[in-house]
Amino acid sequence: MNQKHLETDILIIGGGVAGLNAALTAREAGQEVVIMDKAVIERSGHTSGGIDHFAAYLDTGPAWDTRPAYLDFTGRSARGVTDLSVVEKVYCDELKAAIQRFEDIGCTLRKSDGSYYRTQSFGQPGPWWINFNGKRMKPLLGKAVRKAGCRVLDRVVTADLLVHDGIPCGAAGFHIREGTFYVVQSKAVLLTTGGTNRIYQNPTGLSFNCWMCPANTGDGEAMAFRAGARLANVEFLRMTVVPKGFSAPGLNALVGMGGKLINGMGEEFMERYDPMGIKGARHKLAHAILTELKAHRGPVYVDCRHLDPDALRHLIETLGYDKDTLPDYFKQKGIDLTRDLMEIAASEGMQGGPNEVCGSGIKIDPDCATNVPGLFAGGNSADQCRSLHMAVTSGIRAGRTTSAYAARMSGSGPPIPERLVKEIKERVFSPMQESRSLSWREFEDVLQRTLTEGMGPVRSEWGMKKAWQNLDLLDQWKDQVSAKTYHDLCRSQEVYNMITVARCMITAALHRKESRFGQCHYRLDFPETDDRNWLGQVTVMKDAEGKAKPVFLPIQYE
Amino acid sequence: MPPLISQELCTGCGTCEDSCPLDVIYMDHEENKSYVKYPEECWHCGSCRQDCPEGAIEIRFPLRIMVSAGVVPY
Repeated sequence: MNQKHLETDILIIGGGVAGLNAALTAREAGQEVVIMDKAVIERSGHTSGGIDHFAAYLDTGPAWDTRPAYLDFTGRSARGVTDLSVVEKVYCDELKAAIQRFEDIGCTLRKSDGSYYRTQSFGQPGPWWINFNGKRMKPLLGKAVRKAGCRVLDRVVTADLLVHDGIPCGAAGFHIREGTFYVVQSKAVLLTTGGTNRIYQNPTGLSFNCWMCPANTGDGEAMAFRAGARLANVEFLRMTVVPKGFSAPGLNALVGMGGKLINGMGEEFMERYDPMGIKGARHKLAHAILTELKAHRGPVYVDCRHLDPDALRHLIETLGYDKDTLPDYFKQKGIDLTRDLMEIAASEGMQGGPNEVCGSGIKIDPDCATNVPGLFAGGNSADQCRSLHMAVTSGIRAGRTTSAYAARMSGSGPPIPERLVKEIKERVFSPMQESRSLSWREFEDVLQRTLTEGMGPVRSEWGMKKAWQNLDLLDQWKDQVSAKTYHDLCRSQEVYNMITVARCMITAALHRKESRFGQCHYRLDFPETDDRNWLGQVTVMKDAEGKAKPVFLPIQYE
Repeated sequence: MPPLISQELCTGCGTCEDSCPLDVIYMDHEENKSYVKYPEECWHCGSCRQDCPEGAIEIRFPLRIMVSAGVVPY
């Protein structure tokens, strides 16, 4: 088997929006950059097919359009788990640079007349969402990164970080088609691998029919955990509203425009759940729909027939900016929203933060640094970041801070012990042994069923302990997972990473003995929100034996 | 199932193979055509269709998406 060795200042794992923005900033600071991505960076990650919204306050005058308003909303809506000292640095301070970055790569957020098209949803105090055509955003970002002189390892999935004496000195990975084994030595490592999106059962049984990118399988979170980093906010379940059967984003736009949710009896039901009705938090919409369905009052529909037909048609056409194939779905099913109801449902679960302005994952400080020296995180894999706006801003922030860190180190960074490389190589290629026979799909299916059953929208100590027992049983089968191709070897790495993330999720959820953010974390045995004891983050890191250990870190709010 | 690559229109340029974020599309170098190797791992993101210079790619959804039957398991 071929092996290649590269040396660089900064290694970025995950070439999505956060990773590529970090790469551009690090190059501006004069650092050498290597990017590893499972796919080809022009179309990799969650925004590969397009994206249509970016949240920003623009200081145009009204009180809602300001930094204090954004921080106030974040502090209230993600109270308990958002750290505003981090948000100020990784979002607010970089917002102007982020908007400029869109202009620089040739993917403006503006309309042709120079103004912004802004919309409001999810309980936010004003129209913070800039709607734009981001279908070419990722190819443009990818091209800019190559032009800036970053070295890109396309189709190279990271097997693990290389950690010596507690300090990361790079990472090892393999090419998912040729199997070439890569060892990258670096002074600093940035993890921008997105969230964990394929860890719950998909209602259709089609595992890759996800709302967010199915290639994002918690790889960065699992690697960070193994390296001794803290994870935070991983107890929260994310769900949203989707066309029944197709986990496509876009429905929020219909709801934001004034679409009504009705049940099988024709009753508008949202007001029963939330005084803000359809303009309320996403988790409340998902909860209301699940409850209606459980009570056998389904099917549940979105009704847009009362909306202005021209505005609606315009909206349907632009829905493809966020999910390119959503207009195909309408067309092929013969759904005309000016005339028809559309059946909707709650999506599959995901591991995610409480809302659009607060994330979950690797715990970062205001410098995007983790508790492991030289290890940084940004975008959806970092605990404070969520959505496109924070992927761009935290990427830029991490580009600056990793550059400063790398610039302080002399020489070529910490040496890589050969023993460690050999260990990882043996481990990562072991599913290719002929004696193995269990498919990653079978393993993944049982993992997804386990979390769906025990870590869903209603949780209890007894249910979660049963899920934990399932993971113990699954662990006994880990060494049977088989791969005949390097593509399947990549998938086997993904399921291994997902089971690690699953352990961390259950550990955190068992520890948080209260309920918070509706069905994001609803404990049947502790149904109340308890601000006296649980205003803060449940963090998870490995103990001396490598097992997940929870530690509660309080956060002060005004 | 998805996407559908027209073998007639495909010129074998390999663009779609690079566009797929899930490593679903491969080139058949003997035939000089691309094909869907892992249909059940398609995300329906439409990247391949957007980038195909020949307009050779159509999106076809699996039956489970076209006919949305079944109970939400939560």
